[in-house]
Order: sequence, then C-alpha cells, then structure tokens
Amino acid sequence: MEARAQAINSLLRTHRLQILMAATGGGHVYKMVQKEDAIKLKGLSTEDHLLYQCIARAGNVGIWTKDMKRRTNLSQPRINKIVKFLEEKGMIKFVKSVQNASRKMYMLSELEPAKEITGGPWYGDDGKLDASFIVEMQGAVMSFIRHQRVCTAIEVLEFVEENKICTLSTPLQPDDMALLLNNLVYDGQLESKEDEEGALLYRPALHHGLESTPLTACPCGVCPIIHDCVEEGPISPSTCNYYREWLDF
Amino acid sequence: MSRTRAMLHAADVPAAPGGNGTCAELELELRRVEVRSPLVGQPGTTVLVACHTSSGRVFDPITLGMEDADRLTSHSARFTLFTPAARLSCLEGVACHVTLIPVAGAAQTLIGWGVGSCWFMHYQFLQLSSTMWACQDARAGEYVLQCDRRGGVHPTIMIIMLSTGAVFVVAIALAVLAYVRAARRTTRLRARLSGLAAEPGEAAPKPVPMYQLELGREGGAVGVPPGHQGPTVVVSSEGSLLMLAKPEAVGPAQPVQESTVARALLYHGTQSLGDLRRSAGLPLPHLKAALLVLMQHNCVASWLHAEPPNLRGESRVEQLYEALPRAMLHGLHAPRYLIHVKDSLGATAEAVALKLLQHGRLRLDQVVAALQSEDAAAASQGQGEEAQTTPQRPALEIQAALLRLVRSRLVERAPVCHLPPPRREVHPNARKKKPATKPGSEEEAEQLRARAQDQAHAAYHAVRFKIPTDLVETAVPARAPDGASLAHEPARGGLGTSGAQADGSVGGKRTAGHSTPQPLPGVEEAANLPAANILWRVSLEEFNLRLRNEAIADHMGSRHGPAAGAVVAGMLAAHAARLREAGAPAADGERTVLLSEAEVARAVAVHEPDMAGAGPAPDVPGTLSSLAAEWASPVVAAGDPPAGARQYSLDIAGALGALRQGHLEVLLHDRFGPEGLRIWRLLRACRQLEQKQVADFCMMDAKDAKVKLHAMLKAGCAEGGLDVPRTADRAPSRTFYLWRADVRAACAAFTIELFLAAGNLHARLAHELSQRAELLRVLDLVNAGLAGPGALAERASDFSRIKRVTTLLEAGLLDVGASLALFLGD
Ligand code: SF4
Repeated sequence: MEARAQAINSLLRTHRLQILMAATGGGHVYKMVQKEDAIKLKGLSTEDHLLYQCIARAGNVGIWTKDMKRRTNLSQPRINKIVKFLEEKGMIKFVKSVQNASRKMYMLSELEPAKEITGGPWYGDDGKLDASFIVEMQGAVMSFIRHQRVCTAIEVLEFVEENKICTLSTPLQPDDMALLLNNLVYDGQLESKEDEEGALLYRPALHHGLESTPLTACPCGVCPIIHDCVEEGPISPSTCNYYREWLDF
Repeated sequence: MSRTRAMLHAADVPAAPGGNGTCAELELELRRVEVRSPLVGQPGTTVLVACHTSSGRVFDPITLGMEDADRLTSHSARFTLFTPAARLSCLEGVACHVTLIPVAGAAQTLIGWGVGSCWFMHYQFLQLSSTMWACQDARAGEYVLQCDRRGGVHPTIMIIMLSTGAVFVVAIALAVLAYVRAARRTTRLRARLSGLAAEPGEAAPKPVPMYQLELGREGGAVGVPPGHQGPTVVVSSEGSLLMLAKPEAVGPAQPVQESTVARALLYHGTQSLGDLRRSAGLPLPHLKAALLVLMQHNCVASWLHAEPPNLRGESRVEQLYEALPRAMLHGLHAPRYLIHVKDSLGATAEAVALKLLQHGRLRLDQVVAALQSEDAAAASQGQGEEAQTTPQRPALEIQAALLRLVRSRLVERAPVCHLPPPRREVHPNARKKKPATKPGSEEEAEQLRARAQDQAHAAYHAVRFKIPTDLVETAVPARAPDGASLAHEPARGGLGTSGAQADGSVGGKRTAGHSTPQPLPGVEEAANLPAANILWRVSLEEFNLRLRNEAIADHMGSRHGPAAGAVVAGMLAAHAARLREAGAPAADGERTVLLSEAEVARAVAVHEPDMAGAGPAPDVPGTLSSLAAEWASPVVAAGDPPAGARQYSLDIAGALGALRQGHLEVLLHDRFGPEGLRIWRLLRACRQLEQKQVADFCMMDAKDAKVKLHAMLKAGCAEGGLDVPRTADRAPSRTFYLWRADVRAACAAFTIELFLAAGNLHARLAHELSQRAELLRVLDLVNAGLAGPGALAERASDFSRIKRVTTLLEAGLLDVGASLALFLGD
C-alpha cells in the first residue's frame, strides 16, 4: 500500500497522473496524463494547475475570469497573474465572445472556439458581423435561386460547397444557410413556403412591395412632428416649410 | 346653391345697466353679412339688411351694392360693416331681415322677422355653457345659433340654417357678438357664450371652425373649411380609435353644438337623451336640435330600446343615440364619391348625390324640388351654356337619376329610427358555451329578444337598396341627357354591383341548389312603403367597400398579372351579388362564399369594361387554378373536379391584410430603414422574440437592433417589455424581455396619421386658396363674363401656379382618402 502511495505521489509530482472525483460513490478515479501534456504542465504550481484544469473543463465555449474565481476560490489578482502566466506559456488563449464583448474569456489554446463564442460563420475575427462577406454570399445565393426558381436551403448549401464559394475553415451548416435565406425573405427578396414534408422552399419574390403610398408621398407622411402640428399652432399646415418646398414648382 | 350669412358683432362700448328686466343690456353691432345666391351674380343686384328687436328696429336698413363686397364670386358676396351699436334689453329678442333685390325679377327674402321667423332672445346669450340655440323659420327651415371665436378675441355667435325643404334658400348664417357692460363679467360671459372660453389668465382657446361643402374649382368637389380645428384623438365606447381629425369628419355642417354632442356620444358610448344631456352639458332644446342635425347628416343613429318587462309586465321603452364614427370618417370619401357618380352615372346623378351629401337625407320630392329650384335660378340668370340648353331638369329625369344611384348601391334608404340597437358581436374566442335553454326561462326570452333584434336589422338590410314599388312603375328608362350611357349602367357601377335589378336582386341566373330565402318579418311592409315616405341618403359605407375591393383586385393584378386582377374583381362582385340575394349586408364575411368557375366567369364578363389593361377576356378557369396553386394566395380551391365542379373562395381578410401590410411596410421602411422593416417582418413571422434573438436572426449588431426596436416601440409599431422571468424571484437580470410586432397598434397609428395628413392637406388647400383670393375673384369675374380674359393674361404665371398647387393638393387628398378606405374597411 505504501509503495502504491509513493508511486502515485511520484506520478502526481511529474503531472503524469490526475485524480478525479468519481461521479458515483464518492471515491477517487485516477487518469493518466499523456507525456506531452505532462511536459506542458511541468513547472506549474498547484494553483496554476487548478486554474488550468478549470479552463480546460470549460471546453471550447471558454470561461470568464469571474467564473474562474467562483469555481477555484482564488482571489482575482491571483487569477489574473496565473492567467497571464499561462497565456505567456501558450497554454491558454483569450477569446472574444460576440455575446458579451466586454467579458474576458479564456480557453485552451489548442481548441477552436464554439459558434456561441464566435457568432458563427457570419462574424469576423473581430467579433463583428462580416457585412461584406454576407452581401457577397447573398448575391451568390440570389443568382442561384433565380436560376433554379425554387429550391431548399440544403440545395443552396450544396451549391455553395460545390462551387467553393465559402472559403471559411469551418464549413457552413444548414442552419447558417437558413439564417441567410430567411434574412433575404425579411428583406423582401425571396418568398418562402413549407412543402408537404415541412421543408422550407425558397423562390425569388414576385412582387417587391409598394414604392410609396399616398401618405408617404405627401410631406406629412414623413414629417417627424406630425403629432405637434395643429392649425393655428406654432407648427401648422398653413405655415409649414415642408409644404412650401413641396409646392414650390 | 344660395346661402346667406350675417354677422352681428358687439361694440366695444360697455352697455348701460337696467333695461326692461333686472339683467344687463347687451350691445350688438352688425359686422358682417354673407350672401350666397345665384342672384348675386346678376349685375345691379343689391342686398337689403335690417335687424329688429322686440321693441323696434335696432339698425337703420343698410343697402349694399355688389361693389361694396369685400369678397365677391358669381354666387356669393361678403360684406364687412361697421354699424353703430344697438342695445338688446333684458327679455328682448333680435331678428334680422336680409333681402336680395335684383334689377329685374322678384326680390328674394332670405331671412325674415315676421311670424314664424327666428328670434333670438337676450337670455339665450347669457345661458351658462350654452353655445347654441335652435330656431325654426317658416320661410326656410331650421336655424341654429352658434358661438364662434373666430380670431380668438371675441366670442361670436352664428346662426346657421341647417336644412330646407324645397325652398330656394339653402343656408343662412347670422353671427352676433355679445359684449357685456360690466368689465368684471366679460370673461365669464364669454365663457358662457362660447362654452370653450378660458378662465382668466389661461391661454385663449383655439377658434372653432365652421364647415361648408363647396365644389372645387377644378371640377372635383372639395370641402374647403374657412377655419380649422386641431386634431383630437377620441376613444369611442367601443374602444376603436377614432380621429376626429377635422370638423368635416363630423359631417358637412359642423357647428360647435353638434360637435359637443358628437364628442359626448363618442366618449361615453350609446346613451339615452337624459344621459346625453348630462354628459354633453347642454340644455334640452339645444341638445335636441344638435341631435337632429347629427341624425340628419347620418353621424348619429337612433335606436328604440325596450327593456325586458318587469314583474308587473311593464316594459320601459327609450330611445338611444349612438355616434357613428365610421360613417363620419367615410365622409372623407365624398369628393371621390361625387367624381365616381359623375363618371359612371352622369351629371344629373351627381347633382342628386350632391344634394344628398349636403342635406344628409332627403325624400325624392325634396330632391326634385331642390334641384328644380336651383335650375330655375340658374336659368333665370342665364348662367352658363348648360342652363340655356336645359332650363330645368324634369322631375322624371331626377327621379330616374336617383333610381340609378339606388340600383348602383350608391344611395340607400335611411334606416328608420325605431330599429332596436344592434347586438354587439362577441369575438368567437370569447363566446361561452351555454347549456340548452329551458322553455319559458329567462334565457329563452333573452334569445328570442336577440333574434327579434337581428331580424329587424336584417329586414332593413333586405330593403336598404330596394326601389319602392310605386317608383318602379313610373321610372323612365334610359334617358341620358348628361352623356352617361345607361346601357352599361350595371357594369359601370364598379366592383360589387353586377347588374342589380330594380328590386335589389342581381342579374344572372340563380345558382342551382340555392333555396329561396324565407321572407323576413317587416320586409314586406318596408318594401311597400310609398316613395313619398322614404328618406334617401348616400351610401358612403358601400362606396368605401367598393374602393377597398378595387384596391384588392388591383393588388392581385399587380402581383399576378391583369387577368388575375380581373378574376379577383369578378369573385368579389359575384360574392356581393350572392350577399344581396341573401339580403345580407355587403360587408359580411371574411371570406367569399364558394363560387363556381362559371359564376366567376359571368361576373368577370359583366365587369370587363372596368378592367383597364386586362386585355382580351381572361381564361377564368385557368387563372383561378393557377391563383389557387400560388404561394400565400388568398384564392383557395375546394371540391374535386372528377366528382363535381371545382369551386373557389377568396380570403378577403387575408387579401386586405396583405394590402394593409404593404402600406404599413412602406411607412416602416421610410421611418426605420430596411433594418427596421426586416425586424418588423421577423417579429411578424416569429410572433415574439428576445432582443438578442432579434439581433441574431436579423444578422444585425445587437446595439443597432436595440435602437430600432425602441424606436418602433415609441412609434407604437412594436410591443416590448413582455417579461418572462427565468427564476421565481423575478430578478430583472434573469428575465427574458420579449418583443412583438403590434399590427393592430401599427394600423391604428397609420390610420391616425392618414387622418392628420388628410386634415393638413385640406388646411393647406384652404390656406393657398385664401392667399390667392384676389386671383380667384378675377377668375370668377372672367368666368361670369364680367371681366375680359386679358385680366387673367396679366397674371398668367400666378394663375398656373395656383392651378398646379390646388391640383396637387386635391389629388393628394383623394389618394389619402383611398388609402383610408383600406384601413376603415372592417
Ligand atoms: S403640415 Fe408640415 S409640419 Fe404639419 S405635419 Fe405636415 S409636413 Fe409636418
């Protein structure tokens, strides 16, 4: 037993072994650490190790420094110091979340951030919507749908992949394409309808809506002070400058 | 049209106390006289004005020549006077005498002071919060004395004649300004006089407008109010948002007292006379006069309400009054209505429609008499070529024009005042399932009463467009002196009027399988009422429906091609015909009845002359089936072709909703940009979303989405702040805030803006015309042959500018009115 304890301690010292709590029964579970990983962890203090493990557990969604404090019970300055140390060693990286741009999120440097963090393919590296990329994709998609007349999101996606229109490292998912197509529907460029199996069909809009209405064609329709305009008042139709310009042939 | 208005203005000198009674004397001064009569256009005509109190003449008679007028047109003259002050003692009354004396022919007395004339008593000017008094003049009809604060300095009291029978005079207005001697009482008296006056120190109230319906100079009829009132949003008892945008919304003659009563009814809902008296705060005679005026102009409906009998078997019966905001608002279509009538049924029909619009409701003999007297006046003056060629329209021609209007459903019978109040429609979701009623129970009695109510209204709708039997025999067919081709008359009635027959039924074969509807009780006797007992009124509601249907057909035509537009128009017409057959109101139903291809094809054939741009006759079955197969199409197919004929129905509510949505989206695009519109459409599609979801789904920056959402919330288009807590403590930080697109609120906001815009267009038009009054006077003189065309040549550029300005404003007004038809269509 003593020998076994000594061996465990020795492995723990060299970071070749990890002790985890068992999910059931309250006992301990031992996990072997790969040699390369162990080399990385060499020279870390217990606290550094604790924080590293906390960050590793967060996976590709990353963890906020405030959450690290809550989980490790370390003080904030201490956490900041350790995070800086781990970042310098290249073990963790800072990631910007599109959801909470002000939060400092960290994850293991070898992981790719999740979609919730990056915002998906439509966001640039700076965490902002990549407008030019979206417009380019919309143009390509529209010309394909005009050519096809009616198609589904999957068909559009296949077209994009086959023609290598999207050069992102992670391929576009059907959800991403549906989001793009739905936006074209909301912009009035496409129309959509469910088919018998529940799949959404898209086609170019037959009618692009009205250009103007009788209300918007007269000055009052676009007047910001329409509710303050009263005959005999300081703002009135008789003295209205908008009208004067409109009627000034 | 002849009209006279005289204005008495108070002198600024305080009156001496005493008089015949214990109250203070009033000082009166004649300040303005307005005369409207074709006689004014005759060279050399003079106007004689004199006023009397009970104790004698108050002013020396004044003779006015047309050269004294400060505003003169071919049919109206306005004179400004400065007479010495005259006193009106306590218990005394005052009346005026206005006579037009032409060079040749008989003098015409417009107002008199003899027996049966209007006398206005001293006490009437002093009554608390009284703003109006009614008076009956045997010569010309009813007058109402009305307070006005034109100019905002002194309250002015006006007397307006409201309606006439067949006499020559149409309207008279007399204005009196009272001023009290004691300075400390002045403000209080003004408050009494106007009912609107401010307490000392408060800002002066806005002027109260008077409204006159006049024919526009460019041919279309346009209401030009001499003054305007600020917009007021009123929430009626039914909760519907009503914009009393401008006084014309409450009828063509709109004095203050009527407006007070209309407002009281709108704010407090349907009321009995007693309740209305309290809510309007008017003395009974004035209230009754105002109510009569409002009912005459179809702004208020009167219902006979019978309470269920009590234990002693006594049943209380009372008359209830209900404001008809929708009818008031439909008044905005009047110019378009007149143009439509003239285009489709000719000038005589237009003259009849104009008379009905001016007077609200008239009997046939009254219409004939009014038009004939107008013709006689025009002929006696030799005005215009038309007058010389057709000196007087024969009664039969006027009658035929009225019948054509009724057949085209542009004129209807006015409802009788003993109809029970209509039952309130309960939303299908709010209806409760009730157990079967026991015989003899209170519930059964309630049901029977409700059924009787429905039957009474159904009986009215069954005869609403029915021509009285005694007129069917005497009606002269197809004489069209005004150039209207009567051969196409049914087809030219527009959508929803396919070949209505004299009895109100519809041309075309009755579809097999339709049973003959059972005659409703009361229909028979209403149908057999002699024409002399029937009051007619214009059916602007029906016209509104027609505008709406035209818009739906145009929309479908622009989306799916002209053939689709023609077919949809045919479906709506065939639906209207079916409703008429069943005696149901034209606005019934959110969806058309099921229509066969043959039925639609027949309706399309009848309406083809109306389908501009439809080209060759459309392939109805093919168009119908392609429309039914279209995405989000309001046309729905039913039936199985191998087993039986295919039938189609049109989702009217859906088509109208899409059309409204189109109008709303243009406004949203203008106000909130394409991103705002994208958010609106997303919220419409997804019902409710969190702010972050909105930003994600619209591919927008979260901050931009927030700004847009809050702007839309402020404008009343989006509903925000719907919170769903994630935890039991309802902590704001752990709560979802959901957003929705509030279509109802957006439509209401849009409708209000339409009314504001219509009012502003109207006001600007009046302003432009008043600014160029001098130019218009020259134009009138040239038209009347009193000045040479050279007078216009000097100011050609001014003239062409005012022409373009009025054309633009009038066209804008008509277009806004057509937009309103969509939003008032329910
Ligand atoms: S009249 Fe002029 S100020 Fe008034 S609402 Fe119209 S545009 Fe605006």
